[in-house]
Amino acid sequence: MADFPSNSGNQISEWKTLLAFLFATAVVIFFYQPVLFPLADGSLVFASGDLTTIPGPESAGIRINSTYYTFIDGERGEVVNRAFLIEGVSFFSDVIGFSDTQTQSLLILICLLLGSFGIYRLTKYFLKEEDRPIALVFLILFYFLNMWSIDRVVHLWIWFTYALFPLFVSAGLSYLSERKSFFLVSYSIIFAFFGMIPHSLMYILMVHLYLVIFSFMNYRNLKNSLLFAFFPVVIYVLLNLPALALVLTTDVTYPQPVDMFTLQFLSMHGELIDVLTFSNNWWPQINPGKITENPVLRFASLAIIAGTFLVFLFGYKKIRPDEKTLALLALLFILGFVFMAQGTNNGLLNAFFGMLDEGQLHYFALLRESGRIALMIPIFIVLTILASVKGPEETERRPFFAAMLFLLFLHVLSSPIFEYMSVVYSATEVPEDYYVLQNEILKEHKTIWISPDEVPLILGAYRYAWNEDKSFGWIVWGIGSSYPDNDAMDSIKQGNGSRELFDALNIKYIIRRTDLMGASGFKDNYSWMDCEKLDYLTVCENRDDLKAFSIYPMNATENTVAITDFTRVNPTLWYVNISAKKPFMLAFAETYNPLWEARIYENGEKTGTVKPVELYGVINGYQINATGDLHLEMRYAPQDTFEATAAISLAVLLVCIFYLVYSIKKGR
Amino acid sequence: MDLAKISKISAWPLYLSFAGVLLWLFSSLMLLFGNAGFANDLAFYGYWLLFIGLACLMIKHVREIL
Repeated sequence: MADFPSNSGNQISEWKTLLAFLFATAVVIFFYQPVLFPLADGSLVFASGDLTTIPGPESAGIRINSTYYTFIDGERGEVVNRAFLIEGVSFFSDVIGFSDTQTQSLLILICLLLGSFGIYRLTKYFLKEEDRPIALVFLILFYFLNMWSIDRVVHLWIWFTYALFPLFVSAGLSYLSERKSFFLVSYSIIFAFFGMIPHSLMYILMVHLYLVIFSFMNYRNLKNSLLFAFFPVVIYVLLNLPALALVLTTDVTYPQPVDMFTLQFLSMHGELIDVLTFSNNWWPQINPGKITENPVLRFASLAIIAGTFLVFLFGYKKIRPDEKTLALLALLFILGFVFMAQGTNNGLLNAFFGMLDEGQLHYFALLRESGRIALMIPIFIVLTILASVKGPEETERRPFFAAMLFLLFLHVLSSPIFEYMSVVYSATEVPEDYYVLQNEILKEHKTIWISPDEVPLILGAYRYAWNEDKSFGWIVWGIGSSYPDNDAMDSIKQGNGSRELFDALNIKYIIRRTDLMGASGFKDNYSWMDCEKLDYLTVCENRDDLKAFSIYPMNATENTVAITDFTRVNPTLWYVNISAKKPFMLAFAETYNPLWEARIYENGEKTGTVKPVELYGVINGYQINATGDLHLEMRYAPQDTFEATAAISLAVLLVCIFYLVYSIKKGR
Repeated sequence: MDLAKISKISAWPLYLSFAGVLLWLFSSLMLLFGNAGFANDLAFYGYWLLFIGLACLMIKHVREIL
């Protein structure tokens, strides 16, 4: 296999290749421009479904859903490192003076350019110079404009990983052929950064597995192959140590429970023919008929996949052994992904899942939306074509690419990707309501969002009253601080919460989701709260004197205990000063979690740590037996591990970056 | 051992794979004519022919390179 990048080629061919790369990249950017517009207009915000910008760090939903809360008796659990990414965007945005949406647009653009550059590198790696221009145009356009790629923009962090695959693979192949550690470190950093969230990790591990198998088969050097297999994993662990340490030290598991019904429901539109025609989306956010009843789209899509297999078979006898290994492996991986992507429509998978109990099914929670795994197929199509296309005669290669371009043309023009980009996912202006609330609602109190009982669905999703093209998203996450769903919250949302309960739980605001189109049937009616109808949302405020800390029960203090003062340092750390003449129960109005510790200090000396009990079925209560002037540190304990390990990760990252800079200066 | 016979047998994985791709191409034409049910059946048989054909090709290839 040629060293990478290839040095051969005359200047005219080089220019043609470069022009083809620039042309294809420009076309891709043109198609993606609705999600890039915020770079030019800062007032635009992503507000559709999962593609919703979270305005600001320390926001309610992130804290409740994504960062610190782990499983308690199997009731609750979330992915700890997703918040790290989401909040990372917010912190980064603050530093560079961008809105969160602008930062996400910038990341989309960067990933598009890097992915496109990855295909450019791969093309130079595999192909003769005369084949490169037309191959580049086809491969870049196919990779970014196919239905799977466009559809997955909704899960931005997964799409970033998808976009980076070509660069990732090219770095891996460069290392395998040249054995320069610069490429291995680059490969490992991409692996660590773009494999942060569980789905991305699963996907990037599959690509890594592919390259590891290739390394073992092609180079047959056990030591080097083992180094290539495990070095990126070690770097991954070191760079993701804060999140992994939380997973290991607390009882975090994947947050989405699955059962057979869920698996069957999420396999909707997952027949084999749907998978092979890029139509296997269980939740299309446009009229599904535009995909499943679109003969041109389905014909062109299946023909592209068949063409990929065909080019390998036609050139089979002339393909070099190393490239044959790559192509054969890629084709088998494609068949594997097609197998998995059918979900329970696949009789074998259905029978397998049927044999498992619910606990065992949970191990497959990551694969619950089976159709998503089809996102792995395009990179293997790219690799198959690149590794196989030198097999057929030169006179056959040009017609092959011309035919594939024609099919891609049909695929793009007949598919609803324009609608996805310009209507469903495009950034939009959102009402002032959200910004007003984001600025004025106090984070030290709790906010409860109340959804209506009756609200119409359009294409399976709720819509905003201010823009019916946009499906209901998580825009409210940036506002205030909240409690997760539980029995007490259900009771409050049904209008059955007492005023005392509101005060004990430190609930200052109720916000009715009157911003949903057609919302009606709100059951809460708390007449003692002051309500105000904004343009779209309705906000009710509890005017009582609320505090995050109180003595439990609220009417039993007998003047023997006084909370002198308290301070909120951040969402994981509070300080409380208390003067007590008798033992007491301290109520802390933060979601109950056994990992919230009360660390007791007397005269500057730590004298004990108390674990919480559950109060009101929602918050933390601490039985404090010490008396006198007490200083309490209320700490979410895993945060200590998180902060300690973050320093290690930062140090490793700096070493890696320093090494890369040093290598570039030394000419790699 | 009859080497010519072995050579003929060893070509079968390629033929099976070709048959699989041809079925997929027919399947895509069926989609163009709106016959999705039949297209799914063809795609199913094509899938397994390809799987068997390519798996055998991989085994053959591994034996060649090792």
